[in-house]
Order: sequence, then structure tokens, then C-alpha cells
Amino acid sequence: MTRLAALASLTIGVPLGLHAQGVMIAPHQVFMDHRTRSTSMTLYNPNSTPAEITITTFFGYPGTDSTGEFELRTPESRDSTQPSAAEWIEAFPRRLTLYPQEKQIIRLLARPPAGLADGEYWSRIAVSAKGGAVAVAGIDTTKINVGLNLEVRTILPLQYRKGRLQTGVTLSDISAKTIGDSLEVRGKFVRQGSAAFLGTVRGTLVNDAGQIVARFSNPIAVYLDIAPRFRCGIAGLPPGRYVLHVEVTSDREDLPAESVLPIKPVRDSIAVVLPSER
Amino acid sequence: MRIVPAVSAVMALGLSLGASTASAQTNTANITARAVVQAPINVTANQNLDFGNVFPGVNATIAATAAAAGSFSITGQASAPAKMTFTLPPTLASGVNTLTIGTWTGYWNTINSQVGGTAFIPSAAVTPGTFSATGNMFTFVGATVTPPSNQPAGTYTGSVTLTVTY
Repeated sequence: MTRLAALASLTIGVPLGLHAQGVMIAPHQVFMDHRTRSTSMTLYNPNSTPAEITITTFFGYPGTDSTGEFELRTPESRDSTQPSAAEWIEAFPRRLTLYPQEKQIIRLLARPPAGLADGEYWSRIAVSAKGGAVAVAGIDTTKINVGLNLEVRTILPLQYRKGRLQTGVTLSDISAKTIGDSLEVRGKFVRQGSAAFLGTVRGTLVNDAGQIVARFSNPIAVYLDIAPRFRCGIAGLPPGRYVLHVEVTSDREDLPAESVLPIKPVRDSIAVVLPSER
Repeated sequence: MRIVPAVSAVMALGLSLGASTASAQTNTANITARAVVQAPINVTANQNLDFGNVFPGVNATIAATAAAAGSFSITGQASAPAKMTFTLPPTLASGVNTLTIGTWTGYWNTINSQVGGTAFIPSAAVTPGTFSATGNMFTFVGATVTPPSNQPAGTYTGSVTLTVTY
């Protein structure tokens, strides 16, 4: 989906019910540079009720669990491979009330320690949005009335960069298994270089005739190493032998081009057999 | 970042001014409006979980697949993974009185429907989700309240917090 279409769906498609509450945040991934030590993000309240906003930072980076699902790792003790910027990134303002249809620029300022070594430092930004008091339908003070407010919290990545950085990724241990109408693809991705790798993983399933019969495309972030899983729809494909091609590139349509660290595409392939019973 | 000829709520605006080649009779000038649209994420609580009036000694349940379920909509990057966790109140409060709430149910989908998605149990543990190819995800929450027969009258409220990690 293009960003324009995405934005249109956000501003037009979100229900504007009486109790809708939340906030639109852009960008969804924040980059800061040591030369300027500042950047901004924009909050917008598309709803019809005010939202109380709180912004905090903490250290975390994405990983995967044993099943290949994405997880946020927030280690209490860290080593040099887990560089944190959370302690010296500040948001201004940190608390605010965002009224309906109102926009607010949040300034993010960095106060890194003196002598900070070249490299990339990571943080997470948490934006909490809370609405007003709960409205319980048909309130009667002689009865028991029950209602719950829903609140939202959004956690976004921030990367602080100093010096000339490089990134890369290796791909190994590709496997695939059929689960119902899907092919579950897994692989091991290990970051190279001095910065997290942000890019896209694409897979294509090719039949004996050389035709692409299925494909998937997913954004990926490799901060250290991950073993994610991807799903590729294979409904209606006949049983038989196929070849799965996996390609990792640094193109990301959703990120500013100047923030993407380019790599040479990484590719690998495996043979896949789709069983008749699945 | 893509440049589009549009005006948006979330944008950085650059303006360039240039004069066209002068003709014998007419001078014209053009301006070009440029808007950089940043990819946003939006998490919205659309509908509170409202049990309305309940009766002492009678459990009341709103299923995650019911029309009255609490609902969230999340919009972000197409096909990207997102992690959902919930902060849930064990009790609801009305002044000094409390009411037990539990047996949480959840349902998420890539379309705004409580059919054809994935059931889960909301908790502080991670519920993995994935945005649709159009960047949408919808989450529904239900629960059961268990007022004892001597539950005092009052308006009992609490908060459910959905955290989306991108």
C-alpha cells in the first residue's frame, strides 16, 4: 500500500465513534544523527475526543522466539553488542493533551555522553494515549453498572547513528514446511557491520516450468540475529516439486531513502516438495 | 521517501518557485507544491467494553466475538509483524467497592470482522500479530464479570491497555 493510501485510510477509514481514542504517530521508525542530535515526530489525534499522551523511552531491540515469532528483547544487563541510547534521549513535551483533529510536534533531543564511540545506538519510544472517563450506558445509581476504558500504547524503534556505518546480513538454514494452505518458511539472519539491518525479505516459489506460483514479501529488522518465520500462501497449488528462492534486500518503501543503509542483495534457494495431503 | 502532490496532516512541506520562459506578451510563473508523507502507525481504541447494567449474583459475559466487545484498530506497515500485550485489571472499582473481572477473551483479524481471525487470551504475554497486505489489524476483547449476590450498587470502571510493539 502506498503511504498516501495508508494515510488516507487512517484519516478517513478510522471510525470516529464517540469513545474512539488513540493517536497517529509518524514516522513509525525514528532516526537520529550525531551531527544534529535532534529530530521530531508528529502526533495527530484523528478522533473526536481528547487524548492524554505520555512519552517515555527505554532500551529494547527485536528478536525472535523459538517459534519464529517476533519479540521485543529488553535485557536488564547489557553488553557492548547491545548499545543503548535510551538513557540520553529526551522527548519534549513528554506529557500533553491532544485535542480532536489536533497535531503536535514532539522534539527528540539527544545528550550523548562525551567521547561516544562511532556506531549505532538503540532505544524504544513508548507513546501512551488515554481517553477521558468511561461512559457506561444507561447509568442507574441504584444498579450495578460496569464498563472498561480501553487505552493504547505504541512502542516504536529509534536509532541514533554516529559516524560512517555499514550493515549487512547473512542468510542460512532456510527451511520450509506446509501448514494447511501455507508454506511456513524459516531462516537464520545474522547482522553484519556496525548498524542494524533494515530491509525486505522476499520469497518466490517456482514450479518445474519456471513459473512463479506463489510469493511473499515482508519487512525485516536484524539488530543482532533472528530466525523468523514467514507465511507463503500455496492454496490450490498441485503437489510436486518446487524451488523456493529467498532474497534479502535493503529496499524499504516505508523508510526515508537517506536512512536506509544499502547492501548487496543476499539470495538463497531450497527445493520444496508440496505433499498431496495438506 | 516518496514525494506526492498532496497535502496531508502529517507532512513536511517544501516549496520551490520558478519562472517560466518569458514570452513576448505574457509572463507566467509556476510554483510546485511538494508534500512528503511519512509512514505513520495508528492505534485506536474504537469501542469500550461496556457491560451496562448487571445483576447481583448473575455473571455477565461479553465475548470477544460479540458486537459489544471492546475493539481496537491498528494501522501500520503492510505485512509487518507487531506484538500485542495487554494490561488487564483484576477488579473494577466503584469508590471503595470492587467487582471481580476475569475470563478474558480476545480475537484479532486483518479485517474488521470477528469471523475468520485468530482467537487468543489477552494477557501480559505476547500475542503475535501481522498487519494485512493493506496494513490493517483489528483486535477485539471480551470478559466476564462475577458480581456476588451482595455486590453494592454503583458504577464500576477500570482500564484495559493494549500495547503494540512495532
